[in-house]
Amino acid sequence: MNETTYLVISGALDAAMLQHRLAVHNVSNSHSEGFVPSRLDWQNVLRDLHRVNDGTLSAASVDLDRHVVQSMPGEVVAMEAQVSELLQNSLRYRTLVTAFNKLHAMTTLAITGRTT
Amino acid sequence: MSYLQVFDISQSALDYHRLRADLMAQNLAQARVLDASGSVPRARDAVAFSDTAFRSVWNSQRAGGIARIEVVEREAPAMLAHDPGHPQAGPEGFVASPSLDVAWMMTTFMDAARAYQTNVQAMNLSKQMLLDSLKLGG
Repeated sequence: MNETTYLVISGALDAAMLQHRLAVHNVSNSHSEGFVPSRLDWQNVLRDLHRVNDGTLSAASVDLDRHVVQSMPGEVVAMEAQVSELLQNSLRYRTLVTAFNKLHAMTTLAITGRTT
Repeated sequence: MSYLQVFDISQSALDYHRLRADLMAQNLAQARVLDASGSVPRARDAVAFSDTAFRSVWNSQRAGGIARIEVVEREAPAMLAHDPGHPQAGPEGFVASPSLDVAWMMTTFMDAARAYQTNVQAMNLSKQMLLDSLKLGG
């Protein structure tokens, strides 16, 4: 257990927040003329986070904007898919918060010898 | 970027769909009404535009919801009814009234109401995530 794990979880929390914002943006523009929906490519984000974990990539150089994928022009917003993505993503975020808190509790235990 | 900006994104859509519902209510109310000059009011609708056109490099700062709303008048030929005794009848005895497309108005109304609900749902999830983020560390 080291600082890297914190960085990986923080990176994933940032990615989940960005994904949430993109889905909210897509839903709010579902009726806009000529709007092109976009989403975050999680596979590529996870690949970067793995590299942060390995130490081959610094956490500061993870650029989430680079992993945003835009649909082809003319594609409409699939409302059900976007809402489902929002729900899944909020669970993902909550899971990451729980993981962060467990890690934090372990670190506290290691430093103080007490769980509280 | 403020972490609260995600609410502004939903808010822009709520404004837009409320405006559409308002316009449809006005359209329905005016469906049989002539104005004082005898001209026929046109049905109005709102069109939304986003400022995020397709671009090769994405910048998440640009995800800001609806950028611009325009109210447009719907082109539709007036309905003519033969009623020579009407005070606003033309020289040939015809009175023009707005064409009633109640089906269009009601479906647009329903569409606006459903889209409003979806955006409220998105806003609630934003709130939930921000509340979760406050629980970080304990």
